[in-house]
Amino acid sequence: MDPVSSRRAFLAQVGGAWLAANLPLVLTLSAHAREAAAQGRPFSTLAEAEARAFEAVAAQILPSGGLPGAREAGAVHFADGALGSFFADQLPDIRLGLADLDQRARGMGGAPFAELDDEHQKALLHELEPTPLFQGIWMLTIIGTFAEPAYGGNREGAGQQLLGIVRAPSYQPPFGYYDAQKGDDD
Amino acid sequence: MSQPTFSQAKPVDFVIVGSGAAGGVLAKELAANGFSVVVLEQGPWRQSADFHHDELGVWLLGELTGSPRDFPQTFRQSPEETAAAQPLPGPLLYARGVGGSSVHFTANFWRFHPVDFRERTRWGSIEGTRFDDWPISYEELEPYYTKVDWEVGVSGVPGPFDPPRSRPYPVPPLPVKSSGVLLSRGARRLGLHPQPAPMAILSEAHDGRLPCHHCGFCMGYGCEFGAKSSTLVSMIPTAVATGRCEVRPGATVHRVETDAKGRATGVLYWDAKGREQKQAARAVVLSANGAETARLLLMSASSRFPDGLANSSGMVGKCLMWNGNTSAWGTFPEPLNEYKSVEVTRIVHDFYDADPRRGFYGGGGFDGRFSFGPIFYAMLALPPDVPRWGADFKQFLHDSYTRTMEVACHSTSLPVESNSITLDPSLKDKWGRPALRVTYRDHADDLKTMQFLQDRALEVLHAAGATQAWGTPVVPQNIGAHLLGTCRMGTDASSSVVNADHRTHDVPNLFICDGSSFVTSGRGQPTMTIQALAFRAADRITALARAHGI
Repeated sequence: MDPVSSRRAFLAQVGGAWLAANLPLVLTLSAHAREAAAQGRPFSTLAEAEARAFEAVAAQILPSGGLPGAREAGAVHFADGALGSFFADQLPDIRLGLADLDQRARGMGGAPFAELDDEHQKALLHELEPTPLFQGIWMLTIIGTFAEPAYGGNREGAGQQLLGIVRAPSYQPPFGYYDAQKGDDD
Repeated sequence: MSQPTFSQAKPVDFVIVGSGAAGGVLAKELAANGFSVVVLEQGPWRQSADFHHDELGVWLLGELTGSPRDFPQTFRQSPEETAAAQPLPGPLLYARGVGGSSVHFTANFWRFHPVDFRERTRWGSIEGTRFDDWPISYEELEPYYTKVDWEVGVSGVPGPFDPPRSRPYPVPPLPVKSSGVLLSRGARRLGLHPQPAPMAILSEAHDGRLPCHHCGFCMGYGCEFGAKSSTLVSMIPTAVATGRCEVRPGATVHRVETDAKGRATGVLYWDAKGREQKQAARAVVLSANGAETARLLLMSASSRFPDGLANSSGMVGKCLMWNGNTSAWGTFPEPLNEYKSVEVTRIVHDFYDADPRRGFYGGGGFDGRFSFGPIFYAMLALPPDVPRWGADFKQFLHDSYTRTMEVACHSTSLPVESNSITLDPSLKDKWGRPALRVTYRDHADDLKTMQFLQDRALEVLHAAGATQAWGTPVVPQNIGAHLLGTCRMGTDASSSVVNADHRTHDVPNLFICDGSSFVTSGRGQPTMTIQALAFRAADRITALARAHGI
């Protein structure tokens, strides 16, 4: 299957787990998650070790450095809220997968995944890339980086900073370089 | 909004099922013509201020479409397969709520061309399909297209391939975006003829409504400025203001009732609290969309109508047409900032007509745009050679998000009988209705047309100076937002469901007007034609009622 179709198929599969959602519940839970993160409180769904492993994987997907990455966006806090609510169907698999990840990490480098060096983390993730665990964390990381901050991630507009865009309620033309310079082209 | 409250037991003149593109028009027209009208809408009655910019909520949590847990759908490619339940966003993508899918549509408002109504005569038969002419012509529909332009609100200016029109657009085209400039540049260099896109989004204030504020959230979203010309803001308020139209949100219709003479007497529905209600009516109009209308008829079977109401032809639910949809993508050296403003500002219609020299049937158009917000862009829209994680992934997102555009191609779907809406034999929705079962596989010519248009789109992107261009692989589709053809119009009662007045052949006081009435698919962007049909149907139904012909 081509990459786009396989990703679409994957999205379709995991999308089914969002069904439990109803928006007020999501907003309430994610608001709690955001507050907990701000106050340094423990995660509400993930255990500390699980959260550390998740965040380390997320930071490999969208690394820190220069522009904000998944860590700066607080993607793990989005995941903590999502896995406790509208993504709850995925929690058992994610939980088993994170435990397996740490076990493999110990086998490879004698420490949980989050404590491996960058080279070992990358090597392990290359092995895991085709697995549902990686795909699940990959999707949560992207959504947690770019979704509205009300869901617990995308702190301080980290996702918009990463993309180089300025969000405003409305805009006026010209919108981009080419319509500002349109000349005889249009 | 203040509105009348009609008795359920005393028949109103018309009960309309659905408040979307067609139902909203019919409600406004019939109420304005002096009839009492009750509109039953399964979703809530939102206001413009209720809409917001939330990619996750709208696209993955089903804020406007409802969740598959409540409203499951199943999908298969052929009748030999067992259909499997599908998550969001498909296989049938439509919104629930007053205004229906006109609330969340992209608002491309192409008129059909004269050839769309006469293509069987022009092209000939196509094996394995129900390819046929319409019983009405473009010329008959033209005054109603013009009514849509002015009463619903369409921005635009005539282009080189446009059919004749009796009146200019009410407001000029929306300001061009960089995707429009680049589409035009590439197309002109290839000798093509780009033109401003007709959009049901106001470029200037019109009819007491605000113009577009270019927020960038159109496709899939409701418009918080009311600038998108949904029936929620353009038709429903006028209908209610007549004092003869009551809109009941949260009303899920599950059966059209008939009497011993085979006439419709009203509809059964569950109200917002889940209580079963019956609205009596002298005539019933179904405008619930090409999927829900078909399901309702199939669920209304009785001893007199054992295969479903109005289904003596056996064509209810069959010949579903989604239009072909495929995309090419390109990145450019400077920022386009396509996250701003409306989806589409320029289109190309040079390939609209089918051409035998291509070796297959089909035609279409394409437009310059950028469909995705950041989440879907990162997950679905990157070129195949970009890594999916790591520093290079992040850097590509940063470099490309503001510099990427899409050329979206829209094309014909042939009416294939096995492409259909049926009742799922096992899965039920939250009300206990059988889930919508979709059987769909694009005709081979439809896939060839999609590939042909994508190839042309890639040429345009390269000609425009794209630094990189790639196409989404053309494969059989499994998601459709255009729900067309499932109660097709025709003069022959043995092969169609409604006549040219949208009256069912089998039940004299039952009318159907929505995408299901289509005989052929057009080239995408069907809502303009759905609404023109609805304005015309309202005239025809009014004339029949006044002549005591219903």
